[in-house]
Amino acid sequence: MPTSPWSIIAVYFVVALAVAGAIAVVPGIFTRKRPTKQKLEPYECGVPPTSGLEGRFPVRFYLVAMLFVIFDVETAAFYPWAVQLKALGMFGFLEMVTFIVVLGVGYAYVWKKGGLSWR
Amino acid sequence: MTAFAGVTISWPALAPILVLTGAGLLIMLVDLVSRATLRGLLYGIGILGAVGAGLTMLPLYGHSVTTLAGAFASDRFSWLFDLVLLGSLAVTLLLSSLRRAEDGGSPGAYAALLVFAAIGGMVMAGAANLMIIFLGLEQLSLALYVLAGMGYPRAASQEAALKYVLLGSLASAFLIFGSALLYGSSGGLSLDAVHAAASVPSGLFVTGLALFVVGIGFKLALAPFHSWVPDVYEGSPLAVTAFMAVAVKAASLAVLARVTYVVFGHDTSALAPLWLLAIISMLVGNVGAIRQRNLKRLLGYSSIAQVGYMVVGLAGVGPQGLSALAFYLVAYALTTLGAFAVMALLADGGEEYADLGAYPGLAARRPWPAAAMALFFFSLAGIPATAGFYGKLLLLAEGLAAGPWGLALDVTLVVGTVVSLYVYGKIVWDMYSFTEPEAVVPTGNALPSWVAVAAGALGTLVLGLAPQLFAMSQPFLSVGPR
Repeated sequence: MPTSPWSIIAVYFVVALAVAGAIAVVPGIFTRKRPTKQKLEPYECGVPPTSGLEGRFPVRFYLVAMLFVIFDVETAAFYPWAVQLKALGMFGFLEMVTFIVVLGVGYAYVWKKGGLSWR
Repeated sequence: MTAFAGVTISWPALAPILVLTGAGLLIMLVDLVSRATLRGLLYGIGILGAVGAGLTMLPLYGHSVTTLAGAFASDRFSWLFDLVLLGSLAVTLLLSSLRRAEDGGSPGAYAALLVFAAIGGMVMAGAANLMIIFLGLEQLSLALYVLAGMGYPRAASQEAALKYVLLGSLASAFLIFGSALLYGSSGGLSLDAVHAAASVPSGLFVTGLALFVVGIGFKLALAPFHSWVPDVYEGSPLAVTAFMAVAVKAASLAVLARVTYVVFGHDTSALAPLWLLAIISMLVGNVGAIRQRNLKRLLGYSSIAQVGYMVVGLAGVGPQGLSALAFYLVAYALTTLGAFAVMALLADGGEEYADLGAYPGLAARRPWPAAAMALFFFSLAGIPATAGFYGKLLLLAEGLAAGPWGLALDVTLVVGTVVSLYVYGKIVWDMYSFTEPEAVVPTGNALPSWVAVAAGALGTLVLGLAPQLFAMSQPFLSVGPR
């Protein structure tokens, strides 16, 4: 009998582990292995695989992603400030101006140094 | 004092950080508008910013201010660490000037990143809140990941950057997860709240603390978490390595010390694993240094051992321990920056200054750099009349007062020192023997490096011959952060 309301969770965990473990282990014991070329290929949604794994792609994708995150976070900071603009008063306004200036310097730097051009 | 939404802001306490931020932004703007590469001007702004921030720190001397709702403290304790950080920033900028190989051809980004890294360190030194600790640590680390790779065309520099970013982010993950668990168990982000939870430690609290110490241990390069040090130190640009060896350790030690003091007060029995880390560090650092043929790697191993020594100062968790730690930190900063300055002085564009094969017989050709290097090595080993000797005495006294763990730490400290005597003594012996060097002898002779070498040597000698000057100039250290 469960003594704590949480013990049912423990039972759930045990059952889940047992079922998942059985599915993973039991077929390995009882099946006969007859590998063919098709069977050994990596599964790609049923479509024959077209290319290797070690494809390379340019570092500028990361650059764009990083810049996006920075300016995305900026928007996230702007929104609550805009909602509370009146309550935060002059100090809040100046604080945000400082924030924008700091970010603006970074933006200008990235722009001038060619971080935004797709070369 | 400004009050905003119930939070009081003490501008004088934040002034050093704000001045430095201004200098960093100015560097970026100057770099934007100038067509030519004004290396001297950009580094000059950085050095002036460090000096300016140092001047704004003067009125804070001996005062204790907590601001931003208790999240940031500017006290007797952070004051000294800030000074070490600003000093290492200025020296790093001095050492990088005039050398294109250092900044990969973009001095603006290099100088600005160094300034922002120093700001991160200063935030850490004053952080009294788990969130601010993480914020400062990330600012310091993110800037340094890039700086490690700034020696761009060299493959070793890129390797260093990649290793540093991978292991550094792992450490940050440990730290933030530990902080989250500490927050969960104590219900507050401030170190005071964590202190309240420490009296009745729960499993959650202990797990959180363990993860936190592992994270800081990575950043400090305490022994089981030191594997990244040799490669990163070898690959990074020389001045950046100097900054890593001093500023990162100073800032992380500030966090570790503040956490131990505020959270545990005078009962450090829960920190036994930390003492174990220090013992392993002292052994691994000194033994690992024996086989090195590259001076940057050797100093990397040496720094692992030196951090182990400094942790001994925390074992006694008392005001005296803090003052021993602070003295040793200043001595370590002076000697390590000095040793790197000698390397920068000898360097003439390539990496040959780091090869120990270039040092035999150096005294005959370059008597003054060799003498300075010998002095710094003596101080690192702890020979009398140098700053390192008195620092080790203070630390040993702390260990003796700290019970069985302190005794174990003391014994390891002495054993480690004996091993390190061989490591440093061998190089000094080689420098003063009349043998032909095995490698190309570097011939650099830059004035800024001379300034840094002279400053380091003077400081090492003054602190070694008249250590009471330090006690006189830092009387408040014997009181502790609260």
